[in-house]
Amino acid sequence: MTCEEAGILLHALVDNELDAGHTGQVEAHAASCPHCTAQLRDYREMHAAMSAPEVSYRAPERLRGRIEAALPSATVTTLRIGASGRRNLLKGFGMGSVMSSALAYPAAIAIGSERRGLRVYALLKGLHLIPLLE
Amino acid sequence: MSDKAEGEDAARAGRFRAAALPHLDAVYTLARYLLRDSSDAEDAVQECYLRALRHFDTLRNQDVKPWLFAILRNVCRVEYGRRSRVLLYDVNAEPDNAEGVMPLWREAQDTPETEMLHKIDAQTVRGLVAALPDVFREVIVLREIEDLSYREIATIVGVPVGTVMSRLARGRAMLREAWLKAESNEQHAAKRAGKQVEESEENCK
Repeated sequence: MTCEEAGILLHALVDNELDAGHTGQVEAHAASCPHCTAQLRDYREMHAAMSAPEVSYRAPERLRGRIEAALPSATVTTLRIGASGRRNLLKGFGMGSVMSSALAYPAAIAIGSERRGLRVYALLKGLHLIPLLE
Repeated sequence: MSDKAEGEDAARAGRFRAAALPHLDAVYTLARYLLRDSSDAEDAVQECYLRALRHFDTLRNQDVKPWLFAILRNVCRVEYGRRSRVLLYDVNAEPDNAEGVMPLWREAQDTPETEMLHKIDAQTVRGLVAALPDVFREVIVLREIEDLSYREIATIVGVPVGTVMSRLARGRAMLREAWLKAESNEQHAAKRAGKQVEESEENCK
């Protein structure tokens, strides 16, 4: 194998996209070629650096909140939901529906993520509503 | 809307939430690199999730993350491409022969193998990736940061796997060159700083 042939395959090797046969061929070439060895080393180094969590971004909480708010379950109010509806909602969509059920009560509920569901559950439990809804 | 219909909507939203929200950071990361602006990225991600919810029923035995990426890419290309003077993601109009003008191995050989890459800080890495031209940046981000396979990238970008490979190779070669320059600049800056410290110490004597 020449450097020309190895060229693009070096990248496929770095990315684990080669079958065993080609992997062996490219590795054998790289082992005997300082130029390809250097490239392989650098591309692996770059790959490792870019995989670091600090290179990724974390979505802002306000964005998460905006998306959550746009989902139907966050806007459903249970004031209009009857007893059978309540049962279906709890079965069907988990924390979001519990949140929605809780909106019928004048309790202040902070917008959060999973913690919100637990807090709402605790609230409903405190109001002795959980046995009715389960 | 009837209680039943509301319940179904909410149940669907619940399934969507469980499937799509765990990928929010990844989708936002892609948006940040594609648009290079935090505010635009937030808007694009929100629009992506709204569209994804609308089309959630069309998702069949498909990984959610690449599916969200494809939607996001479309949002960025169509919505935000219009805002920019330079059309973002004009990949379909971009002639592939531009990628093939210079053979990849020759481009890489311009950098001597004695020059080794060294670690640079994550902020600099972000800057180097963000500075890549659109067509190369998106495949680099999808592969290196989002860890997608060639086939997944090809599906998202809408090009053959071979094109993904050539763009990746070219993008990495450009990145490697920029990386070495960034290291060199850092070293110069460190030397300059060291010299200034020495000079100020001399002046103090």
